Amino acid sequence: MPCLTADRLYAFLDGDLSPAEKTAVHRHLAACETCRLALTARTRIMEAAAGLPAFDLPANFATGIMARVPFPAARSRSLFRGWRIAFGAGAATVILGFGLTAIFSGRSIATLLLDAAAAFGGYLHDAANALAKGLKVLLLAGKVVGEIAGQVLAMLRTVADSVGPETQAVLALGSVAILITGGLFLRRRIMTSERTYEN
Amino acid sequence: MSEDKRSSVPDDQKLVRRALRGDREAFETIVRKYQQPMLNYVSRMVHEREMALDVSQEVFLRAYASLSSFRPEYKFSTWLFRIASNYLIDHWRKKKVSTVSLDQPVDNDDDGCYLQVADEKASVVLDLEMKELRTRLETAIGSLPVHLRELFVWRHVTGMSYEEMADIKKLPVGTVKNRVFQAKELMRKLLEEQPCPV
Repeated sequence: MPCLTADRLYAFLDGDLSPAEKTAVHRHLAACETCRLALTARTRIMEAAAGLPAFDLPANFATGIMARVPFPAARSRSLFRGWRIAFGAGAATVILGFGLTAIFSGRSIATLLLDAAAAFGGYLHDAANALAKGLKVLLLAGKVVGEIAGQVLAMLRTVADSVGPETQAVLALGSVAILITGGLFLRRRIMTSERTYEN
Repeated sequence: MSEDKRSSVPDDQKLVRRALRGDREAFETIVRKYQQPMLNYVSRMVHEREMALDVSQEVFLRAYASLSSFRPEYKFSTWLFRIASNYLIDHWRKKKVSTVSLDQPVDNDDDGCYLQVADEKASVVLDLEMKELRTRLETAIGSLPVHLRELFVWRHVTGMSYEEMADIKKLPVGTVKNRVFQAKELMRKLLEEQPCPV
C-alpha cells in the first residue's frame, strides 16, 4: 500500500472509511513511520483545536442584550396607542368637516347632522338591499349545486348497479382511501400554515 | 455542535414561539443557551474581544428582530449561526478584508518548523506541548482566510457536523468537506511556518 495522502488521513480521523479500508490503513501505519508521524501531527492539531479555551463570557452579557430588546408589552401598548391616534384623527376630521361646511353653507350644525343621518340611513337601506340580493344569489347557487350533486349520485348509482359486488367493494374502498388521504393532506396543510404563522 | 447539549429542536421551537408571544424570559433563555458557542465562534473570527462582544450582541438582536421569519422546519442553531455568518460577511466587506481563492491548492511543501510529534513523552511534557500548541493555534486561526477560518472553527472548535455547516452556508456537504480539508492543511502549514518555541 502506498503512503497515505492527507485526505486519506483525515477520512481515517473522521471515521469516514469502510472497515476494510480502516484495516488497510492500520496495517500501513504499523509499518510506515512517516505516515504514523503525519497522522499524529494532524491528530494533535485537531485535539488542540477541540480543547481551545472558551471565550471569557462577561456575567452581564445576556442581561445587556435583553436591555436592548424592545418590550413586547410596550409594543402592544404602542399598537393600541396607534389605534387611538387614528380614531382621534378621524373624529377630529369629521368635526372639522361639519364645522367648515356649516360656516361656508350658512346652515346650522343640527340641520347638517340631520341630513347626514338621513344620508347614512339611505346607505344602510342600500346595503340591506344588496345583502338580500347576495343571499338570493347564494340560495340559487346552492340549488344548482344540489341538482348537480343529485345527478352525480344518480350516475354513481347506475354505475354501481351495472358492476358486480367485488367491483362495488373496490370502488367503495378506493373512495374511502381518497377521502382519508385528502383529509390528512388538508389537515397537514392547515397545521403547517398554523405553525408558520406562529413562528 | 452537540445536538444533545445545546440544540434540542423542539425546545428551541417552543422557546421561539413563546418569545414571539411576548415572553421575554423565553428569548433570554435562547440567549443564555447560545451565548457561549456564539462568542467562541465570533471571537475566533474577529480576534478582538470588544468587537466579538459587540458583534455577538448584534447577532442576537438581529435574531430577535427577525424571529417571526424563523421557519420551524429548520434547526434554530443553524438559523442563528447563519445570521452570525452573514453579519460577519458584511463586516468583512465593510472592512474590505482580503481573502484568498478557495480554489487555490494547498501547498504541501514541508520546509519550516515541523510540528513536534509526541511519541512516548511524559504526560507533563505532553500537557505543556499541548498548551503551547493551543497558543500557536489561536494565532494561526487568525491567519486563515475568513471563509476557511469559519468552517475550521465550526468543525473543530464548536464541533458542528458537516451537515449543519452545509445547511448554514447553503452549500453541498461535499464542498464543505473539501473546504474543511483545505482549512486543516493550511492550518498545519501555518503552524509549521511559525517559529519554533525555544
